[in-house]
Amino acid sequence: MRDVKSDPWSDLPKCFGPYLRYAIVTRFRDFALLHSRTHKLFLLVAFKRAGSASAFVKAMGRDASVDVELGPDSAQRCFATVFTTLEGVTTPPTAAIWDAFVDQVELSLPIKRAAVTRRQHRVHHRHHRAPHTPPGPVLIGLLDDGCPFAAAQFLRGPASTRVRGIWDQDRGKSPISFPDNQGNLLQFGMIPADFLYGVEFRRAPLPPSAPTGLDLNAWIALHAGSGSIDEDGCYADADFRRLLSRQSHGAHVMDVLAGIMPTASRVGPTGPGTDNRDPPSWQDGTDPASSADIVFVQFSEDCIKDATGVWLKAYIFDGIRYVLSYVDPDHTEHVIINISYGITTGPHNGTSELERALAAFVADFNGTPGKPRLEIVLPAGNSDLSDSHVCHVGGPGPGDICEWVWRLLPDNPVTCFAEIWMPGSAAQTVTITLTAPSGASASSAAVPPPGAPAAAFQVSSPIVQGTDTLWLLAVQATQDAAEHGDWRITVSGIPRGAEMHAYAARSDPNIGVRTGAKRSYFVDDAWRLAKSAEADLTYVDGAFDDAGSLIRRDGTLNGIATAGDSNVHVAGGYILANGRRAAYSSAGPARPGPLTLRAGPEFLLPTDGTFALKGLRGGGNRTGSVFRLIGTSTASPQLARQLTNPPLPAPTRVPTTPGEIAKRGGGNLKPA
Amino acid sequence: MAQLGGAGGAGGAGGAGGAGGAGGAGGAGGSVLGTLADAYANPIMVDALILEREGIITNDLTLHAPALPAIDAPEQLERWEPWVRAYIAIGDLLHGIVFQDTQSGFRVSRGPDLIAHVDRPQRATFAAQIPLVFSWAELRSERATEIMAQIDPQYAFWSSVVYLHPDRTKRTFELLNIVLQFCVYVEMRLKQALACWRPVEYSAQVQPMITTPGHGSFPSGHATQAHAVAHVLKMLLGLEPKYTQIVEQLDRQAARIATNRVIAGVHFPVDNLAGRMLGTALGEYIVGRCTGQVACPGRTFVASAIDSAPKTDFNPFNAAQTALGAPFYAHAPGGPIPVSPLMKHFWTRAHDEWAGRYP
Repeated sequence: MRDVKSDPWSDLPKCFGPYLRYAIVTRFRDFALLHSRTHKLFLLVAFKRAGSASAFVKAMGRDASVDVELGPDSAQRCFATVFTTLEGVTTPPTAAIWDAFVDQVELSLPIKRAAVTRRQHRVHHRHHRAPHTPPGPVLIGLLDDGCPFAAAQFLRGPASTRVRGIWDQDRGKSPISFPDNQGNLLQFGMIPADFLYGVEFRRAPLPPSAPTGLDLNAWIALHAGSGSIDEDGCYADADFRRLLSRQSHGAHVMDVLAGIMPTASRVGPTGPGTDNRDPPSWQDGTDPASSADIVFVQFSEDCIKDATGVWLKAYIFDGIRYVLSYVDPDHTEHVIINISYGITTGPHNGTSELERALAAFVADFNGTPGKPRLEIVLPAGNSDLSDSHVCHVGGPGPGDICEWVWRLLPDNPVTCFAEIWMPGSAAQTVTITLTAPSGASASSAAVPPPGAPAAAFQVSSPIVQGTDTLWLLAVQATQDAAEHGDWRITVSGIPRGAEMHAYAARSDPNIGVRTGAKRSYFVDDAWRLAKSAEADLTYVDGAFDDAGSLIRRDGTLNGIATAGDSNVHVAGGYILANGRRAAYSSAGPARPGPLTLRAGPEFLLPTDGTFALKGLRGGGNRTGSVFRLIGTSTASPQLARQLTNPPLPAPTRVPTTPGEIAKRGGGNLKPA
Repeated sequence: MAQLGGAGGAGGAGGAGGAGGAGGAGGAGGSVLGTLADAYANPIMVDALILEREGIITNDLTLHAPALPAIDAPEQLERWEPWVRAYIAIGDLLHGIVFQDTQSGFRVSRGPDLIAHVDRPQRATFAAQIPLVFSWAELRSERATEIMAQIDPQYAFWSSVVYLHPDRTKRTFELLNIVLQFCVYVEMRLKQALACWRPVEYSAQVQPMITTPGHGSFPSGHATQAHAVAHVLKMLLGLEPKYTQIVEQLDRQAARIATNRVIAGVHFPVDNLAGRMLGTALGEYIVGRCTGQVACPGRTFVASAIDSAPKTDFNPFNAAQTALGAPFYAHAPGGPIPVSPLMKHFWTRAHDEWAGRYP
């Protein structure tokens, strides 16, 4: 029986998520900004009861002398953002308060909130419209990286953009001072007085409370010469650094979702009854998405640099709220938000905090008066071939042992994480051991006590999350302290029939980021030795046989796309030339759990032209730029585009068996 | 200096000149050493030959050349170098060819029989097609290797469909080079007459990704040559009507070669609409000269049809374009094309390389 009090992982409030625990146990060494005291912990909190946020703040102040601030619109709701100091999660008196009020809390990258004179405790209504221009019924939102608002595919007139607002969540951003044509210095952008971080740039009308400033159209007009727009200057003068180069993820996704030329016009006729020798039509779209207003949330640079996605959840939550603040209760009928975000880790059964928050959003905005119907679209993920998922069911006999290799590459500048999940009822007898290539090891049963020197690698003690138990494994950068090579994960004491899943956090960088980070992955070395030679000679439907391997391609679905909510849509990818699923497109099913589970992606949309020509063409950061983006990130905006123009087209190649449904969902939809 | 054998050596980068070396470019041509196609004309060898002759000749004056052959016997072609055969073939193919201004366009005929008549579209049609050139430009990155590989005659591409080979099917290569050469003579004359501006001359936004060649835009030389070759291969190998898959691949390949030039920014789609017809007509004419039994093609490109639908893209698989009939084309075959015994010889030699391949 372990002495619980000496275990720094479990001697924490039950509601603390694994990464908040990791940060506390490592004394926040990865978060230098917090030690400078200018930045706060940024937490996404799920309260046990809606409306208890204020009482929580009072209790923290009264009983623990800790200052806690709430994000906007926290008072009435279950989900809220919370800001506090290190003491807010480490001081002993806070533990009981956390557990009394909070169901789940997870840490995001730290933030410095602005001091503004008129702080708003409610999320602003941003839907004020200019007279004589009612907004259309469809509002499109994107959470992504790179918004070329002055590119021709998003303009409604010579210097008139369809982008209504851009919120750059970057902590380093400030409003811009810029001279107008008369030489007067005007401000472009403002700090959102409700969210208090980042800078937002809006299209007229600017809020009555804001100083006279430049709106997006006026900014474009200041960079418009004789009949053309200086797009380079337009972005450079406002420090939109993510638009420096030719390509960005957000530019492509936004073009596929809402650009004037839809994907279908670019790829030519496809599908049954058409002649694929015919050229593309190149026709401008006439669907609602071609002319709808767009609201864009730009991820901060720190968030983009982190490929694991584990530190982004509060930013996503606020981003969705920012988009929804543009809803006009009298005119908006339909909101579609595409979130180009995913994680490979998490419970994978809909119970993660962010999944529950997404479910709450769509339940709230459900088409009742003043609450237009919200649909959220997510990519299925690109991890099918990433060797980032292990699954093992406990065999007969007492205490099954399962082990495999976790390969960590040299010269990696980032921490690598892995998570192991089991049903809570089966976790009592289980021990996780992580062994370095040199033979040094860490075990979940022998976690170093608090105050022990910082380790290059560690295994948490069991962490209870709802009906599940998880263990978090972390290895520091192999560029620094940690060894590189084949580490061994050993899971022992697995009860008969108990299902164990392990996930490696994705760590290779996002597009447009140069960190030199590398992906860690799992290797079933026993299977490689005994079975892989034979398996390499069986190649069906674009995949080698993997029967018998611990490494499982199914169950790799995006970690926030595993709940079976009908208004949260998940898009996988297929190859246009032959209709087959794209090899990298992640597959379901969700891991067993208490909620309605997702069997696989909802539909597949085209993401590759042919086997040799991967990706699909979409707009880049400038008017004339077009590039191919490879991945399910190009599928979800197509599904979003189709959703703005219901009904969805009839799918083709509809699978009927569970195995195929896990990979292909409801079948192939034609390009949007 | 095998290129010397090809009258088309002028040009080069634009592709029309690439057909130059009708004896040489296919590898079926002569050697490159020495000077003026004489492999032994270098000082050492000349001196050696002089000295050796002085050392070995006697005063025996016996002569052994046989009787002179019949005048203009085709089998004598076998005695000449490939580049010489190429010149002979071109001379024979151009025999009787007449070029004529028709006010609305330009025509090429054999005597009174029309081979091909190309009407010129209005300037407004070309202008209306500039947006198509811009749209197609999206594909430049992904087609770049094909475009560069297809600047010169597309031997590797045709070979990948019907297994041509410079050594195994030498005489077929030779015949194809003759086809290409003939196309160049005709298409350049048409381009000169119709004098159409290239896309780069309409807009500074086109910015072609390869050099715009130094001849007119309309009709497209690449479309003409690719479709002429496709037609000749179909007839030479006897692919119709049985080998539909090969025929389709040759057609799709020719269409892609043509469209790649629009993607590159050096042609309009309408250049390909006309080029496909011209190439087909020239291919038919050549086959007629080689085999007999073929009516003079009598094909016309009807520019007024595209002037009233200027945004029509090149699409030979669309019902309106596939049969080379109305509205964009007219077809009124004329009298039989007289066989040329010399061309028949070229044809037979090439045809013999495919004995039993496509029964």
